Amino acid sequence: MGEPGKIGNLADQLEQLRPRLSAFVSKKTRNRADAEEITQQTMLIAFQNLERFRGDCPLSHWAFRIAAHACTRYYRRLGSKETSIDDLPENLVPAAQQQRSEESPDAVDRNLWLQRVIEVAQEACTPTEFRVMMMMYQTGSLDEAGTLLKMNGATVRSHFLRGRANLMAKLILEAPDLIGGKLELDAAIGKAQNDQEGFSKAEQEALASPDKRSKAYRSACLKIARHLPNPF
Amino acid sequence: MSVRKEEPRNRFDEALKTALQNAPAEGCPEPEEVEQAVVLGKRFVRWHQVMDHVAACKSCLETAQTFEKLERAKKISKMAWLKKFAETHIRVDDGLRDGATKLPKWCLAFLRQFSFEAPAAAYRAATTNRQPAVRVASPPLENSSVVSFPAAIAWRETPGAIGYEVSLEQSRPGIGNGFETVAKAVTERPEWVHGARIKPGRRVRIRIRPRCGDLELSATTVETAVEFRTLSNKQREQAEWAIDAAPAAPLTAAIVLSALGLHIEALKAAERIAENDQRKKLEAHIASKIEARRAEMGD
Repeated sequence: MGEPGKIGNLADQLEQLRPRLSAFVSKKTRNRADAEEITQQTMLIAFQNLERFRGDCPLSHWAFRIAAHACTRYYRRLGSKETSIDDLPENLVPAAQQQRSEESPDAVDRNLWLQRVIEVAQEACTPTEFRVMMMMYQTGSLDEAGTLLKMNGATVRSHFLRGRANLMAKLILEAPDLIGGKLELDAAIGKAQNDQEGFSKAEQEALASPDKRSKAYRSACLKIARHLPNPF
Repeated sequence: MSVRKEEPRNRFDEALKTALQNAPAEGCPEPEEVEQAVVLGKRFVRWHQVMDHVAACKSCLETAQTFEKLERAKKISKMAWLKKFAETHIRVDDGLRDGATKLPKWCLAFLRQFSFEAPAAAYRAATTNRQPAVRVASPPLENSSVVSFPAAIAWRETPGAIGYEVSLEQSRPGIGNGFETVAKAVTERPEWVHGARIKPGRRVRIRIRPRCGDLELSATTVETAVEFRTLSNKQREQAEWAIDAAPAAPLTAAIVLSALGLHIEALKAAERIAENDQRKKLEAHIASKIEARRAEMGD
């Protein structure tokens, strides 16, 4: 994203975002003078850091994050009795994200695989389980997922575990190609059987007559998942 | 607060985590929509669609987390008001206290929500040059709430009026369902006591129209309509607590009463605050709310 043409193009797009940013900041601060100053500051920082924008998210999201950081700083200052917002802005630009290697075949394969796993997950899980599960895979934090989904940590955890079991049961039963293929699956079942824990009688019966809604089958699938290879 | 984590449990988990964290951002909702989803939660009409996307999109998740941090900073900043403005009065260490008075837990919500921001968003500015023929004096127009109905309604006399048509309406349950007439009367004197009971937690509209001997004058007379809301049973208990607590905990009482729309009572409570700066600032704030209320009612 370093070429002058691209930067110029981005600068034009950024300028078009100014009214939206201004409306957002005004809504957040409810103080016209501060809102104008924060908007101005946001635009300045965004223009100065356009070269760091890697295009891995929409430009509007990047600019709004800068504005939100500036507003957060403003509120922290209000809380700590400081009133000036003239200080040099630090840490206002979203952290530079890793450059995605869009062109690499691995990345293309991985994205196609992800799309299919998401489709299977949407079929296998309730909408809440799907949201919780995906957010948990991304953040790994019960609290962060809970805050954004307006749930307490225990509810997040139970939705996550149930969703994960539903997904795994559906993948093993209907889409083994997404977890390494039929051969790898059979090997994982064998390993799980010989594992110290092994399968319970109910789990063995469930595996013999698979039903992805059965609790025993889902439990067996989670044991099998421990022995599955990396799907790439 | 400890952050509770769920680590990947197998290689599939790790692969899915890696894939999600490297997925391209496609079909992302506008940042304003993400912000609405974060701030309003499920009250936002597109919450389900937006959160379905956010959950599986690293870029939108980061945007949502940034907005969430901003909301938290806003809340903390409001709490900082407690430290800055009320540090001599409000203590939260040994239970919630205002001076020596132990406050009920629900007071914290009122204190947190309190803000010196202008109440512009909460009130519509008067948009017309309404010049009411009569001015309602009781219940006090300055309050946007009344503790209870039935109540006596009194207003200033209109010169030349031979009588007044009065109607009392209450809002129907649910939002935007309009008003229903509860009582209607014609009275010769500028006062009226009605027997019908208004339910708690409803909006109440009082309409008064002077009747003049001169029919032509009568036709051009502007009707007065004022609106209040009745407090719910819980709010009524809170208001009663605040009125009782005003001598000992005037700051909290003033904030609670002001939040409940009982501005006159709030001003009376604020007068008892010993610290001069705090009293003046709070009085000015309540006065601005009264001003906005008067403007809204066309007074």
